[in-house]
Amino acid sequence: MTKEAAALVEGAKQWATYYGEYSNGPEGHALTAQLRARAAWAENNADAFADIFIDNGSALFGDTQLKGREEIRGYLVEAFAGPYKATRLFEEPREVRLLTDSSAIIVTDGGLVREGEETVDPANLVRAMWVAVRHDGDWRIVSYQSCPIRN
Amino acid sequence: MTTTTGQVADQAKLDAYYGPFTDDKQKEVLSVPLRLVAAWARNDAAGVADVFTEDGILILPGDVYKRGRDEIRSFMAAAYAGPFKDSNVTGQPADLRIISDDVALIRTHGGILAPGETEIAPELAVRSTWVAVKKDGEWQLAGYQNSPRGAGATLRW
Repeated sequence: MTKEAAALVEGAKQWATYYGEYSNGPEGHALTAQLRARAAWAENNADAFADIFIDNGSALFGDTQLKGREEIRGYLVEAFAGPYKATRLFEEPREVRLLTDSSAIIVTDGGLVREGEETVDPANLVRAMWVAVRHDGDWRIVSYQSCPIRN
Repeated sequence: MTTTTGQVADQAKLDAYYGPFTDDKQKEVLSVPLRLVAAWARNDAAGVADVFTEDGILILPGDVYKRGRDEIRSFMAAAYAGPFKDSNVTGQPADLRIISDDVALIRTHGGILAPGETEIAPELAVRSTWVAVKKDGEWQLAGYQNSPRGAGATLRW
């Protein structure tokens, strides 16, 4: 196996775990939106992350409320150049709940993994609620919010 | 039927609460936080739980992740027996999105009021997201989360 193929196999193995208990079915379908957000974050790609949101989607990062895809994009362009540089978003699904055929709540636990680290600092663990909607057959994020888990 | 001064005052308060969200559907959706605030004012755990869907989700800072009315009811009953006794909760809608005929998203800024207080202390200030669904003709809370608002917001559950 080439080095590239080995890396792909290893990456795929880890990627598959990101679905948690929701690999397939409608829940797995909804969860793809969160996985794409995660992949975009791993590349520190503000455009790709913002594009997972619907036009007027909103995101609360810490105490910063972002309204609309453009605000999310602008915030992340700066954040990826600064405080979020080389971070990865390790937020694992705890629950995927379909509300209707075309809307879902995804609850994740996790947080940011800093450069050179493999896990989230336990002091910085967050629980997030992602609200996803089915849009033209695909799933997108409408709202993201997180809150600290630890005291 | 005459309208009492009290009713006029209540209506003015309600109008102030709705703010820019004045169309009928928006007001319908906002019945969800209004019901929760009213139940909390009575420290009525069952009333709070009943605002949620049968399998509704409640997420609070600190490791609180309650699923379903039963868990929520007992959790709130314990909270009202403990440090949240005689507290109130308040908030103001900051954003409201009708996502589809039967799903809506509300964001509020608010917080808990310690007994007797009328202003939210910085420690108790929150940003909340409410995911409401219309079920059996009534808007119910499918998911609720709040997060600390401001650096001084130190409350964890």
